[in-house]
Amino acid sequence: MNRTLREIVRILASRFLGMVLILVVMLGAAGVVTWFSPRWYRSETTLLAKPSRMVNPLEQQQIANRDQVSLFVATQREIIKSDDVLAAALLQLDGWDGGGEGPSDQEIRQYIDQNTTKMRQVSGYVNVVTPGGPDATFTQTFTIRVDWPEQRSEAAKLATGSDVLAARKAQAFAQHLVKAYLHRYVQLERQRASAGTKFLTEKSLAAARTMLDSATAELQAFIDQELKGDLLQLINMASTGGGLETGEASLKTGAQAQINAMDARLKELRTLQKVLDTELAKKDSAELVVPDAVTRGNSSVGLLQEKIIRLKLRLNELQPRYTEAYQELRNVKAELAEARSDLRDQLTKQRTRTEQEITLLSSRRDELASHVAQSQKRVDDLAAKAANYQRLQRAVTTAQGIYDAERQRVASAVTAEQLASNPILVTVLGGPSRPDPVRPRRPIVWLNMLVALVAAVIIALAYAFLADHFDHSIKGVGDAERYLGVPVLGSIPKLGRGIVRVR
Amino acid sequence: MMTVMTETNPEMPTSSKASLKPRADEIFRGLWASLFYSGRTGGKSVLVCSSGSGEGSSTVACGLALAGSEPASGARVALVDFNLRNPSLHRILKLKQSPGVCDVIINNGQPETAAQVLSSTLDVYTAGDVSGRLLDVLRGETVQRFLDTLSGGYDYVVVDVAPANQFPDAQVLAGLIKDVVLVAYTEQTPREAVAQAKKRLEANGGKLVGLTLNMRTYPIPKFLYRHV
Repeated sequence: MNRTLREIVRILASRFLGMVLILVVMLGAAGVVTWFSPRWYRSETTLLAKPSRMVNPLEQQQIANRDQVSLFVATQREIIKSDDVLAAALLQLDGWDGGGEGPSDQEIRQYIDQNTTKMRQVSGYVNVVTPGGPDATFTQTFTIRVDWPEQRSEAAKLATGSDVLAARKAQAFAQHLVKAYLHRYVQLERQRASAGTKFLTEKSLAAARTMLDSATAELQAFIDQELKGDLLQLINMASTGGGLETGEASLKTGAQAQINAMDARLKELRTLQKVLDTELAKKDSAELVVPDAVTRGNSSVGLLQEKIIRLKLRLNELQPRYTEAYQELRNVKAELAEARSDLRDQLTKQRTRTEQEITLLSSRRDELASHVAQSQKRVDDLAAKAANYQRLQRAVTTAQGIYDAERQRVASAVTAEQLASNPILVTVLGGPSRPDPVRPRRPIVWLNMLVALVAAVIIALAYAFLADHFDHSIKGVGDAERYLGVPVLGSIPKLGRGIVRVR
Repeated sequence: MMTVMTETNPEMPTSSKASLKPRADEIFRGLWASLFYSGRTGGKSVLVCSSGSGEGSSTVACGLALAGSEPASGARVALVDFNLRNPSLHRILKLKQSPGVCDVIINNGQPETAAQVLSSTLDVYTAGDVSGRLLDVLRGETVQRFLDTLSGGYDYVVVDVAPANQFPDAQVLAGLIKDVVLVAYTEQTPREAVAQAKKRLEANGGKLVGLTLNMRTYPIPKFLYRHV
C-alpha cells in the first residue's frame, strides 16, 4: 500500500510540469473561447397547442392524451426548424414583400439552394422548448426561442446603435418565423387531411365495393350452376326449423316399415311353401291335409274340401246300401278319388303361385331398399349444398357490412377535411418578446471553466499514468531490483558540469 | 597552495593534479566503499561500463578512481581507459592521449611506459592511439598480460570500457576482469537495454556486481517523501 501510494505520488510528481501545462492550457482555452464567444439577443414567443381531437380514422387504437401532446410538440419542433419555414421567415426578414400568403414555394426553394450555410446557421439560432424540459408532457404550451447573435464585424461594432438594431432584428425574425410557421402548419394540416380523405374515398371504399361484388357474384354463380331446382327446397328446409334432418328421417322410417312388412310376408309365404311341400310329398291323396292359410287364400280348395266332405258323407250313406246301389257306389268312389286328385292338383298349383309371389315380393323388396339408399344419397348431397349456400350467404352479409362501415368512414373523413381546412389548433399566447439591447445573453464563464477544469484534470491524470506506463526507463532503485534483479551500488545525483577539478 | 605543491613535487612532471569537487567526492567515496568494502567483488579490479553511449561510464570510472586514491588510504589505484571507440578520460583529466593502452599492447611494451602519474597513489593509463584494428588489440594475449601486470602493481584497477550494447569490447574484457559495474542513466536508459547488457556481460563469464544510477532524480518533493 505504502509502496503503491509512493508510486502514484512519484508518477504525479515526475510529470507535474506536463500536468500543470495541460491544466493551464485547457482552462485558458476554455476561458478564452467562452469570453470571446458571441453574445446573443433572445426573443421568445409562447404558443398554446391544442392537439387536434380529430383522430385518424385509419388508426384503430387511441393514444393517450399525454402522448398526443408530446408527439404534437415534437412535430411542431420539426416543422418550425424545417428549411421551408426558416427560409420563408428569412425572406421576409430580408424585406420580401409580395403581400398575401407569403413567399411562394418556388421562391423558398430557390432561397434554400442559394443560402445553404446561412440556413444551417439560422437553424442553430432557433429552438423550441416546453416548460419543464424538452420532453415535458404535462403542458400544452411551448415556446419558440430565437437566439440572434450580435454582430461581430468591426464595422457593425463601430456603428452607433448596432446593439439596438440586433435586438430589433431578433424580434423581427421571431415574428416572421411564427407567421411562417403558422402558415406552413395550416398548409400541412390541409394536405394531410385531404390526402387521408383521398385515400379513403379512392382506395378503401373501392376495395370494400369490390369485395362485396365478388361475394355476390360467387353466390349467384353457385345458385345458377350447383343448386338449379333445389333452391326452393333448400329454402323450405331451412325455413321449417329442423329442416333437412327431420325430412330425411321420416323418409327413411316409412321405407323401412314397408320393407319390414314385406319381410314378414315373405317369411309367412316361405313356411306355407314348406308345409305344402310336405303335404304334396304324400303318395296317397286321401291323407292330404289342407293348411288353413291355403283354404283362406284359395276358394277352389275350399270348394274341393267341401266336395270331399260331402262325398265322404255320401259314401258313408251309400255303404249300407252297397248292394243296391253298387253302381252308384262305384261312381261316388270314383268321384271321391277324382276330387282328391283335384285337391292335389289345386295344392300343387297353390304352391306354384306361392313361389311366384315370393319371387315377386323379394324383387319388390330389393327395389325398395335401393330406392331408400338413393334417397339417402340425395339427402346428403342436398345437405352439402345447403352448407355451401349458407357460407356464401354469410360472406355476402359480411362484405355488405364492411362496405357500409367504409361509406360511413368516408363521410366522417370528408367532415374531418372540412374541419382541417380551418384549423385553430395553435394560438399565440405571448408575442415575440423584445430583447434588452443593453444586456445581451452570454455563456456562463465559470460553468464552462468548471467543466474545462474537470476535463483537464482527467486528461492530465490520464497523461501522467499513460506516459509512465509506456516509459520503460529505469526510474529508481526499486525498478532496477524489480525488473533486473541487480543490486544498486549507489546513485549519483545531478552534480552539474564537471565534477573533476584539474589543476 | 596546490600549484606550489605541484611545482615542488618532482615525481609528477608530466601530469597535472586533479581532485573531485567536495560533493562529488563524498558520493564517489560512498560508491567506492559499497563496491570494494562490501565483499561484492572477487578481486581488486573492476570494469565500469554502460549499456549505451553517453551514460557516464567514463565519468563514473574517473570519479571512482579519484575517490579511491586519496592519499590517506595509501592504496595505489590504476585508472585504465579501455574505451577505445570514444576515449574520453584524457579529456576529463586534461592528459595526453598518447602514449597509452593501445600503444603498449600493439608494441608489446611495458605498461609502466604509458603510466601518467596523477598523484602519488593514482596512475592513469589513457587510450593511446586508437586508429588501429581495435578488436585485434583486445583479442591479443598481451591484454591479459597487461592487466595482470597492472593488478600486480596496484592495489585497485578501475577500467573504463565502451558501451556494452554497441561494441563487443566490454564483453571481451568482462571475461578477463570478471567484476563489472554497469552505469545507467536514470529515466533515460530503458530497462530492456540494461537487461541486454547484463546478458552480454554474463555470457563471457563476467559478473555484474551492481548497477550505478547516474543522474539520479528525486521527483517526490521532500515534504511529501516523509509521508508516503
